[in-house]
Amino acid sequence: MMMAEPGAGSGNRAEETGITLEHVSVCAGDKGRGQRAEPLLQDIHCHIAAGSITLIAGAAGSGKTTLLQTIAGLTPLSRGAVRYGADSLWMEGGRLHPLHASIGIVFQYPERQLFAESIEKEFRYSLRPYRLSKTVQGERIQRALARMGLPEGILKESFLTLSEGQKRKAALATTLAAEPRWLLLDEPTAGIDPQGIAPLIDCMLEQKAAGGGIVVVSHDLDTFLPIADRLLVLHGGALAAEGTPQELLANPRLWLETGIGLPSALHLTVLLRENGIDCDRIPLTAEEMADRIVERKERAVHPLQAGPTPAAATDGNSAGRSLAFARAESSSPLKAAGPAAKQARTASRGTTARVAAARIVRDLHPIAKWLIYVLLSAAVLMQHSWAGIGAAGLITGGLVMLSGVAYRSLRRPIKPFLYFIVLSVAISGIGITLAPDSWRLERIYFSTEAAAETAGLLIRFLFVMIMGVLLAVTTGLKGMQAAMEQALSFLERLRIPAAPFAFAATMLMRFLPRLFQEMDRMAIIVQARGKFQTRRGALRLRELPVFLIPFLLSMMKYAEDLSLTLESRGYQMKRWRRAGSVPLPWTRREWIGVAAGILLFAVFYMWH
Amino acid sequence: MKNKTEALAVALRGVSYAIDAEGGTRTLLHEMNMSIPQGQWLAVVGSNGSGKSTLAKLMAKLYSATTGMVVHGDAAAGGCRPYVGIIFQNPDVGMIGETVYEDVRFGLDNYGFRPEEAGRLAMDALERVGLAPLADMPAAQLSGGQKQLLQAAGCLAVQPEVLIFDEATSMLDLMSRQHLLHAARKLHGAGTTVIWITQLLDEVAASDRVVALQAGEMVFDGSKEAFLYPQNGEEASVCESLGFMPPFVVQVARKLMERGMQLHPLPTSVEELGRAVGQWR
Repeated sequence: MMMAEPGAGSGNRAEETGITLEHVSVCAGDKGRGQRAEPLLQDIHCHIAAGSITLIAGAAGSGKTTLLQTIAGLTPLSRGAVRYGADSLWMEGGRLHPLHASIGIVFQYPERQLFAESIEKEFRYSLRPYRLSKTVQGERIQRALARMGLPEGILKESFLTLSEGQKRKAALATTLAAEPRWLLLDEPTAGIDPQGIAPLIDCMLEQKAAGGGIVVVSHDLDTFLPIADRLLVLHGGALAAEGTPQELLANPRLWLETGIGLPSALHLTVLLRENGIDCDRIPLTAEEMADRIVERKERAVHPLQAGPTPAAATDGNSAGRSLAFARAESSSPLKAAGPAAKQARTASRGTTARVAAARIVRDLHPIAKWLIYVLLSAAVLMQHSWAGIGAAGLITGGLVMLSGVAYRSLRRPIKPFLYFIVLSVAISGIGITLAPDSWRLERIYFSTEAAAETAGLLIRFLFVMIMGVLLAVTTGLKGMQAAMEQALSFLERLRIPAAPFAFAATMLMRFLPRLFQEMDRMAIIVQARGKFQTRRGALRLRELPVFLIPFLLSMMKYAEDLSLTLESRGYQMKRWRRAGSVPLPWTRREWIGVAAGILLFAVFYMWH
Repeated sequence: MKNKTEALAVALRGVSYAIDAEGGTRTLLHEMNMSIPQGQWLAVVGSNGSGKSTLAKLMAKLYSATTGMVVHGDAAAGGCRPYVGIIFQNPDVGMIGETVYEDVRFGLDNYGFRPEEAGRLAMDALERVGLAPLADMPAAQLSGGQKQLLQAAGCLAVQPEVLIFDEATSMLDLMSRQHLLHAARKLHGAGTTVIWITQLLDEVAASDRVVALQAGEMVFDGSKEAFLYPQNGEEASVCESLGFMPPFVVQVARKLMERGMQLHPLPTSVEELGRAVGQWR
């Protein structure tokens, strides 16, 4: 399979320089405090050879992108290992092996990662981690531009003035300029200019000819199957099948059961078979397909001329076919494991009482919840003694337990605030005494008293914040909106429309998770381009523009899309009250909840 | 499409659209004239920045034309229904409601359908795109393809005369694309005008008419066969001369024709080619 490439000088070493995934599993989110993290990848075990093109196929949500980012070292492993040749990608202490500099990853819609005022700066940024001399950098930039067929004049231009097609090529060229040995591509033809496909294919073939490896994730199978040497099929985060395209295409069921669908070549072959034209090999190019059809047709006309050649072809292929069938069968136990695992999950979900409590908290009228929140916040803020703060902590903890809110959804907003507390407490504790009549430093000391005071104050705010998060998390957006419309309805008597306010607030809440998602995505891109060693999600200050500019552009685009969507779906700000919004019921449960809040408030007030 | 006196769905009369840009204005769409009869399936193709999406938003009257006029046909009776429904590219932006059902209800409530009627229409629309069993599921948990089907359900619940799919399949996998196309075909069969905007040429197979845009100008308006196959002994098809790669099926069909095979009618989908080849036996 592997071609010895004298130019690359690594022909015989290709085997040992391939990528090996050893039982790789990746779970979403953090695994703190008994969180049952959903596995994104389960026990992936395979080898990806250098000097070849590997295509990863799978339906949306099957883990394709996660697998690619795992191969690139952008996603920490939960289990297993990723090896490049003999070296493990991850070293002791969660650091990446220096070999990760030889990996170039191109993200989906790479044109959306551009940030610099000129394309030249874009290149310089991508090349910075490699510490090359100016001349070498210049040469590489030239080569990359030539490979993508871009004019040199583009270097002085800003990405904002380029066409979409050129932006895509320029972004690809910045990755190519680093001359990575491994080129990882995520959906490179999604939203591409049709004219950009041929240069992309050429570039992949060049990379392969030079002995480098290419891993491409795509649902554009018609484009990539003809050039793929090997195929990995993912289904629900597990490897459903692997083999050459011919081996896997021999089994149409695999493509339907994994929700991918039939590539055109396979679909056509299936239809031809139904019409009595049997192809042993799936012809992947149009040329080959046409040849095969003509051949069969002629044989149908002159049956005597049917030679022994097709039989030989069948023999040659039967091994591959049975292999694929065997693989497809062996994948079914994996699928069967799904429901069982789910059952185990529900069983371990704690006592029914807690579930019931969580449901009550969730279903409580939002206004009742809000009243309780205001009462308890006031009660907490009133406390000045440590005992009082301790009691407030107990109440907050109790509420967290009662609401059944996942630790993970609390962690995100709370963490930065915790850092802030620690920092503030440290700073507020530091005291400086200057010598009398001069600016000379006489004494630096740490006052526990001052620090404790700050800590007490901020911890109370932390508790209030936690309760706020609980309120937001346990109240669905729809409920929040309905409640706000209800609470503000008195405004309508004054001829002030309340519904738009309530709706705007709800949409803002919807915007936030999107904001976090987009931040995560950009952080990974920045990490991949900067090739630096930090934990996922952490950013260095000087990377801020790299992060911020594409992030803001993307959020602006999102806001525009959202407003168009709202408009097209008939939402008008001037409407007074949406028809059909049913008022939420206020029952005894709500009264009890509010009464409990008042009681707690009273107790705290007396105590204080 | 020509000699019948069909009612008009959407017409563009000298429509241009320009935006403010550095040093003046940039015209995204130039002097566009076209009329789309009711019940037609129009495919609009073109590369990035050719003005496809702008055209869609103009047709839906989400953008207002800088010059010229966008004309909508006469809507059938029933005051609160919108004339145009539009399904956008990004499956994540479209969803407003929390559950699948609530998302469909959002549009119905906005357009002022009565609650009893809205409930029935919402379930009916979900039924038609095949999402009814998932009605109570949180919308965020749907796959990309299902989210696009949900967008479609939200649109068709309010029964617009015209449905615009604005590159609705560009983020989907093969099978989800087929599901969405299938749903659109059913609606088209029931009389809805469909405007299908895409970059994926295998999707023009469903259309009655293809319009190609380049740099904000209409460069082709005709049948899908005339778009995908070379006409009158020419070397390249319109599609190739615009820089598009013809779909796999068309490539195979043309190779067959080069080898002297006769194909009538010219196939544009895998099914059509399979049928044509099957008839040779």
